[in-house]
Amino acid sequence: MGERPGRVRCALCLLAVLLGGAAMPESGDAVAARADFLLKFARLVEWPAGAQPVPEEPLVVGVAGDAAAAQAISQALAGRMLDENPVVVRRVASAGDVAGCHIVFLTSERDEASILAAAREHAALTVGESDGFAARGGVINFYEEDEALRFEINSAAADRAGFAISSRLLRLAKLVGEP
Amino acid sequence: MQDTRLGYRPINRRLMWWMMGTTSITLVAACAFFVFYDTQTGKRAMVDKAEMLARVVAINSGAALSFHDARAAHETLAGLAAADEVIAAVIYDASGQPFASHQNASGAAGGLAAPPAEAPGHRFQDGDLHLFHAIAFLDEDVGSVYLRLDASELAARLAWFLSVAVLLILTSACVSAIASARLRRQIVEPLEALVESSRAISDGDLSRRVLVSTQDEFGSLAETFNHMTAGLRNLVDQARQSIRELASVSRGLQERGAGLFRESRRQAGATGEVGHSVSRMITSIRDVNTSVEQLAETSHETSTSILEMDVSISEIASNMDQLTSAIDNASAAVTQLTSNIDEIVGDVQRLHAAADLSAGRVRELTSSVAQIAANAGESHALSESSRKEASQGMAAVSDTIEAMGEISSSFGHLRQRVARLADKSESIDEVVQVITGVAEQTGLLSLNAAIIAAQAGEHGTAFSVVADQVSALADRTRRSAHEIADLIDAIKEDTTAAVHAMQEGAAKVERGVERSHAAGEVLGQIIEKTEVSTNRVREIVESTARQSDDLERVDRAAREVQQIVRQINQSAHDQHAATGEIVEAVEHIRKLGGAVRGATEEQRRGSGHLTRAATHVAEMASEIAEATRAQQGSSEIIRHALRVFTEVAEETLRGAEEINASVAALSERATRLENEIDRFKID
Repeated sequence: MGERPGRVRCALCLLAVLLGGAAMPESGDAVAARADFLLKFARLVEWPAGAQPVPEEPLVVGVAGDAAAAQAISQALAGRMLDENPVVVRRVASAGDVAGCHIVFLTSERDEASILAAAREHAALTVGESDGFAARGGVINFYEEDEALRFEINSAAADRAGFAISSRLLRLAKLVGEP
Repeated sequence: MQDTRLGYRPINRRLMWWMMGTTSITLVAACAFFVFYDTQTGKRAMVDKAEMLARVVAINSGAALSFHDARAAHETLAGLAAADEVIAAVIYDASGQPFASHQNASGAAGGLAAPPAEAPGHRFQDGDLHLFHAIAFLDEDVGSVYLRLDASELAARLAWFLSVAVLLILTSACVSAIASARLRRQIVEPLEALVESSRAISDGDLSRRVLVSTQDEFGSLAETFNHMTAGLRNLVDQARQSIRELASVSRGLQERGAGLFRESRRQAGATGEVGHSVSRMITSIRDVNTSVEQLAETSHETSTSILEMDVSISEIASNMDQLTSAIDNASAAVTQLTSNIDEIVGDVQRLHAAADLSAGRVRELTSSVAQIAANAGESHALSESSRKEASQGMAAVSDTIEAMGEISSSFGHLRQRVARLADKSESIDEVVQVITGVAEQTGLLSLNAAIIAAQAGEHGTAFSVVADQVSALADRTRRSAHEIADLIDAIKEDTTAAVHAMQEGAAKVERGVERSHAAGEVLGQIIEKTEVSTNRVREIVESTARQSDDLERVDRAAREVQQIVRQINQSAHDQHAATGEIVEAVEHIRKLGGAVRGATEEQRRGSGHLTRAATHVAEMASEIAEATRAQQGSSEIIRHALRVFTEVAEETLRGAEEINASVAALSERATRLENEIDRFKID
C-alpha cells in the first residue's frame, strides 16, 4: 500500500509530460500559441449583430502581412474547429479581401490602415502583432513579456467596431487607449 | 436498611439512582446528538464555504490558466487573503503541475509545499480541510484548484460543547441529588419509619408506634397502621392469656397423667402380686387335694382292712365258739379227744396263722392311721397357710379396689380438666378467628393502599412497596393464625382422644373395681371354705388320734391273742404228747376260751369303732376332696378373674401411657404456643 502514492505520482507525471507534448505549444512555438489564442479570442468576443459566425458555417480567418508569417499561421489554423464551426484560413493581400472574414490577423504593418478601415466596415475582429497596433486602432495586439505571450486590447476600438469583449479576457489583457 | 440483596435497595437510594441515571443518560444522549449534529453541520458549512471559495477561484483563474497568465492566477489567489481560515491555495494546470500558489500569513510559517494534484473532492486531515476543485474554461478542463482550510475551529467548538455537556451533567446530578434528598425527607423517611415499625411488628414487637406527623396519605397510613397494631396487641394479649391458661392446664394434666400412670403401674404390680399369690394358693390347693385324695384312698384301704379284720375276728369268734363247744364236747367225749385235739391243733395252728395275720393287719392299720394322722396334720397346716394366703389375697384385692377408686376419682378430675381445656380451645379458636379476620381486613387495607398507590402514580411507587409489605405482614399474620388454629385443632383432637381414653379408662377402672369385688367375694368364699375344711381336717386329726389309741389297744389284744394262741398251740402240742393233761388243759382252755371270747367281743367292739371311724375318715376325706375340688374350681374362677384383672390393669396402663403421651404432646404444644406468643412484645 505504501508504494501506491509514489506509483500514482509517477503515472501522473508521465501523463502530464505526454499531454504537454501533444496539446501545449512550446514557448518557442509562438505561431501555434498565437493560433491557439486567436481561437480563444473568437470565443470570448461577441460580434456585432449580423456579423456573428453562423453555426456550422466556417469561421473565416484572414491573414494579412508577410507571406511567410501568413503561411505559418495558416498551417497552424488549418483544419481546426471552433465549437461547431470549421476554421477556414484566407489570405488577405489587400483591404479588398477583408470582406467575408470574421477575424483579420495582421502579421505586419503593411496596408495596416486600409485593412483596419475595411475590417471596421465589415465587422471583422482585428488582431495584430506589431508594437503600437492597438494604439493605432487595432482591437487586440500580441506582445511578448518575460518570454510569455501577452496581449493588449483597445477597448475603445472594440466598442467602436461594435465588439463586446468578455471581462475575463479584458482582465488578462493590457488595456491601451488611442493617443 | 442495610439489606443489600439484589433487587432490594432502599427506596430513596433507588429513587436517587433512577433520577440521576435517567437525567445523566438523557443529557449524555442529547449532548452526544447535539455535538455530532453540530460537528457535522460545522463540517458541512466549512466544506460549503471552501467549495464556494474554490468555485470563485476556479471562475476567476480559468482564463488565466487558459492564457497561461500566472500573474493573473496569483492575483486571484491573493484575493483569498481576506479569508482567514484558508491556510494555503494552489492552482494546477491541466497537466497537474502547480501553476500558482498562495499561503496565508498563518500558514506561511509552516512553509507548506504544494501537494500533488488530486481528483475533485474534499477530506479532513491533520485538523485541516483539504479540497480539490476542477477549473473549467470555455467548456474545457484547464486545471484544478487546491484549498487547505484550518478546521481547528471545529475542534475548538467540539471541546467547548463537551465541556458544556460535562458541566450540564454535573449540574443535573447535583440537582438530582438535592431533589432526591428532598424526596427522601418528604416520602422516604415516613416510609422508612413505617418499614422499621412493620419489621419490628413482624419480629413480634407490637409495642411500636409509627410516628408520622404529616397530614398526607402517610399520616393516615401511619394512623391506620397504629390502629391495626393496637388491635393485634389486644388479640395477642388475649391469645397469650388463653395460651398461658392452656399451658398451666396442660401441665396440671401432665402431672395428673403421671400420677395416673404411677397408679396404673402400682395397680399392675399389685395385680401381678395377687396373681402370684393366687397361683401359689392354687398350687397349695392342688397339693391339699392330692393329699386329701391320698388320705381318702388310705382311709378306704384302712376301712377295708378293718372290715377284713372284723371278718377274721368273727371267724375267730366262731372258731372260739366251735372250740368252746368242742371243749364242752371233749369232757363228754374223751374218746374223740385225740382226734379232736388233732383238730384243735390244726385249728389252733390256723388260729395262730390268723392271729399273726390279724396282728400284721392291725400293725398295717396302725401305720396307715399314723400316716393319715400325719397327712391330716399336713393338710391342716396347708389349709391354715392357704387360708392365710387367701386372707392376704383378700387384703391385696381390697388395696386394688381402693387404688381403683383413686384412679376413678383421678379420671374424674382429669375429665373435668380436659373439658375445661376443650372450652379454652374453643375460646382460643374464637380468638384465632378474630386474628384471621383482622389479617384479612389488613390484606384488604393493603390492597386499598396498593390501589391508592397506583392512583398516586410515581409518588405512589414507594408507597406501593409499603402496601406490599403490609400485605405480606397480613399474610404472615394469617398464616400464624392458621398455624395456631391447626395447633388448636390438634389440641382439640388430642383432648377429645384424651376424653375418650379417660372414659375408656374410667369404664375399665369400673370393670376392674367390679371384678375386684367379685374376686374379693370369691376369695371370701375360699376363706370360708378353707376354714370349714380346716375344721374338718382338725376333726380328722382328732378322730385319727382317737383311732390310733383304739388301735393300740387292738394291737395289744392281738398280741395277747397271739401269745395265747401260741400257748394254746404249745398246750395242744403238750396235750398231744400227754393226753392226761388234756382235761386240765381243756378246762384251762375253756377258761381261756372265755377270756378269748371276751377279748374277741371286745375286739369286735373295737373293730366296730374302728370301722365307724374309718368310714368317717373316708367320708371326711371325700368331703375334703369335694371341698378342695370346689376350692380348685373357685381358684380357676379367681385365676380367670385375675387374668381379666391383669388385662384390665395392662389396658389401664396403656391408657395411662396414651393419656400421658397426649398430655405431654399437649403440654409441649402449649409451651411451643406460649413461646410463639411470647415473641410478641406488647408493652
